[in-house]
Amino acid sequence: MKARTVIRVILIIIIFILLFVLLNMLLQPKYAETLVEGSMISQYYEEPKDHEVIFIGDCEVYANFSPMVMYEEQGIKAYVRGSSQQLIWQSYQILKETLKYEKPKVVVFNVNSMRYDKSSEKVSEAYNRLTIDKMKWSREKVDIILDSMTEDETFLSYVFPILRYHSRYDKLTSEDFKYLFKRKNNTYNGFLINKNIKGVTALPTKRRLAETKFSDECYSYLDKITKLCKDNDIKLVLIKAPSLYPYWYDEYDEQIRNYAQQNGIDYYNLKNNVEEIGIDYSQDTYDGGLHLNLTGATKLSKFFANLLKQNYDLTDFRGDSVYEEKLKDYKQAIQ
Amino acid sequence: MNKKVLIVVAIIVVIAVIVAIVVATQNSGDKSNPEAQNVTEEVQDAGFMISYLGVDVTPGVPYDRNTIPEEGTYSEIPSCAFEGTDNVSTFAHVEITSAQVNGVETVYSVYFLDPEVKTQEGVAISDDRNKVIETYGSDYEELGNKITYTKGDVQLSFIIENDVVTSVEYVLVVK
Amino acid sequence: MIFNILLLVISILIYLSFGISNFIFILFSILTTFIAAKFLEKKSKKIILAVTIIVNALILIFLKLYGANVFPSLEGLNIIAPIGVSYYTLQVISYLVDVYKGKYKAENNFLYYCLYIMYIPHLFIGPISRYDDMKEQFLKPKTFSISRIYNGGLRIVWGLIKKFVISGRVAIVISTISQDMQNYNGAYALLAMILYSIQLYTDFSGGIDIVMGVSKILGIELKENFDSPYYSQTIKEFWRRWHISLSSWLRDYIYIPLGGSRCSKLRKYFNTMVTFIVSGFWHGANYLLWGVSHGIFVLLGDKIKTKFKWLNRFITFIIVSFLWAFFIWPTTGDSLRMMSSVFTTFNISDLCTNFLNLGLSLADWIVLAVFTIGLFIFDGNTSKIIQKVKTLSPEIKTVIICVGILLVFVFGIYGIGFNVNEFIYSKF
Repeated sequence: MKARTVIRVILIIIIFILLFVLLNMLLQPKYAETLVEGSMISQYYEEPKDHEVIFIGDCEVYANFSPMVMYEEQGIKAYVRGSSQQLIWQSYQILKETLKYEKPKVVVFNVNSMRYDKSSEKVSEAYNRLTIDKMKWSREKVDIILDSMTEDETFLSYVFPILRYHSRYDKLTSEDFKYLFKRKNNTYNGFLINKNIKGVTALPTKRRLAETKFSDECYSYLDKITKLCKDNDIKLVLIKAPSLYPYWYDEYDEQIRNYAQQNGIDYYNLKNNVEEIGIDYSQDTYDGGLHLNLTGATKLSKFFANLLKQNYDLTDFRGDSVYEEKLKDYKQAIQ
Repeated sequence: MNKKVLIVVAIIVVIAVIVAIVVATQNSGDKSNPEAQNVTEEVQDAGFMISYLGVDVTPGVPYDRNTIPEEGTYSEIPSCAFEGTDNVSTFAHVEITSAQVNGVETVYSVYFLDPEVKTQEGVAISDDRNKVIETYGSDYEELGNKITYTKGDVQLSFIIENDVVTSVEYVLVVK
Repeated sequence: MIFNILLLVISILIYLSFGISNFIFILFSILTTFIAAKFLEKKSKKIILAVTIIVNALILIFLKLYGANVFPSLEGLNIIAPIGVSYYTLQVISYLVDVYKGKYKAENNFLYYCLYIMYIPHLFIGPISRYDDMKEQFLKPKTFSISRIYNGGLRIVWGLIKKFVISGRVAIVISTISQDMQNYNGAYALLAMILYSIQLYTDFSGGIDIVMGVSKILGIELKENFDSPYYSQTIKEFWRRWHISLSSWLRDYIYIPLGGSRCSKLRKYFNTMVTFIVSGFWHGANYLLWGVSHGIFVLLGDKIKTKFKWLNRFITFIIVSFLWAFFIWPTTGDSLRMMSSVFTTFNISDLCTNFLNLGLSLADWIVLAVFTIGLFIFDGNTSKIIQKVKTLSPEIKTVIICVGILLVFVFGIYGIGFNVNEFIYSKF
């Protein structure tokens, strides 16, 4: 082959590699207008990183705790790094990732996920994708994938999303083209607004548990979170967000209380403060008692902001220009 | 020389033909009595079955709570982020969880609420462990104090505390 | 020489990765036939020939029967047939018979014989090669050639498209239909049979394309295994164009030794039937009836041929598709029932309304149709197209290969897929 041919062939190959990358981007879900829960994890990267409080955990954090309310109430700068069905090994990696960007004073972990170990039916590829897909590449992303992958998944499909999403070729919508190169922020410091009201009517029976003890696997990750916070001089706060279902069994509560005591950590089971907070389950939930809606979350966030302010040495940032701006946007959004 | 090769090949062919006959007779045996074969196959494939007040509510079958001749309460448990709900109907003695599968409301699980209901094979809450083992055998998986039998697409699990059955549940095995 | 040793070492390593028990089987066949051939060369001892062939054939026969669950008492043994046993057993037999007949001398160099059997590209799905052909390829001096790599690459991409885009798509529909005989019979069964023709052809010939492409890059030319089989006008012609290496093996080592067609008519019929029974058996002990049916159609031969070329092709295609039924449903009984349902259950309107519930979306059906038509056009003009492609510049060839790869990535059926149910609700 002549030198010119070689150059042309190489150019063609480069063009096709670019095309391949573009196809990967196009076929991947954008999580912008649909399945917005998939975009939460990545919105954090654009935020100013001066939070004093970081929340980690599953939907019980991003639906229930509104940092903007906490700012308004006590001037707290907080961010919720929650995601749907975030499992404890994922919370651990996300916390690790967060600490690379900033060092908060307090980390709040919602302990609901302690009940699910890796053999749980709640471990699913779909939820893994929501948490992991939009993470930036880092050591933590590699680890979170390796820790989370279900049997049918491959690591390579996280590197090249086309391997996973190629069959979306006939399901592409305008969303996929509109958000090909940009993203859409759907949360307010990690809080997802939901204004719907669906009060509690009936709840399933509280079932007997086959196993009341949390698995060693989950404990080992809780240990890791505890250690990570200690090593970084961060106060770890364990909470159980108020919800009526899935049931938070007394056996669960007791184990966390014991763990907290042994490790010198604070644990707040906010289910016990429902009356004090003023949650009305006929009005303050959008799905019949699992998660709070905007009004419920606002009540809870006010309560929790005061609780944090009283117990931990947090700065009152009220008057911060960036946050005042954020608060304005938030107020507009909740109208 | 050709003849000798022929002998060799012929031997192989004879073997093949004998085999052919063996297999063919096996197959024709099946064919002559397709019904019988079907029946045995179904028995092998069928999983555990359960009905409530005369309505088949085996996990995996289509479900309409209005067909159960009893008033119950009903709640919808959404899954976060994704569409779709767990629909839980609570009746006097059982709780049935269902969900949409390919557009059809399908039973996912049946949970016993009290000793008034029995499994099809006759085991109920408050029976002792021995009765479970006698009825269902020892081919089970054990996790904590829960033992699980799998038959067809249905899992039947018992929670046994202090040798007494405290919980009975049928669940669809999702592939 | 170094190239051949490397090829052998790589082949052995890949084969070993599928388990050591595989390797013991294949080594047994290689050693017995290699040694037996040495004896045969000195004196034509028919006993040695017979014993070696029978032992090797019996292993294959046993494995086929075992696979068909003929020995329920041996179930506990968990014997797994070594990969490629159906192919290499035929190769060792052809070698022995050829040496016996004096077509060529027994090989002195064990390496070449090993490589003939274990050459990894053709070990899994054929083609079933002959020793003299392969030896020639191994001895041929190999030079580096860009155009050979391009042509091999093009062939591989074409194979990948056939396998992943066409075959994989059709497989979804067929598994939907074959799993529910209660609801999916009649028109559905007919659809499954026709689609299975496409699936089997694209899967098998796509695999062969990959084998040929890899071999071409390695500088080894294998004999073609398919020659646009669905353009055949009779079943007899079909067998000259479908799985050619098997048909020619059966012709050379079963049909002709039995007397071929140079004997009485009755004897010829007998020979044909025996050949097809062996063919059926080779595919698996459950497929004897399939072999017999093909034998009958071959004997009918030109008697059912019309004056119209395209009508003949259509009829042949339908017959072949119909007989694939034996491969679609689990037992011979089921297959026969489904075949008869085509004539007794008329649910074509049901099929039309239910068309999009068979596992493929409308877009999938369109993709399938477009690629299948492409395949059909290619098969009708294979030599012309190949000639044309050969004259293309490297730039254009690069573009074709790259486009092909992207097509496989996007339209291929692989991976978890965006399963709607899975995403709507995690439990189901």
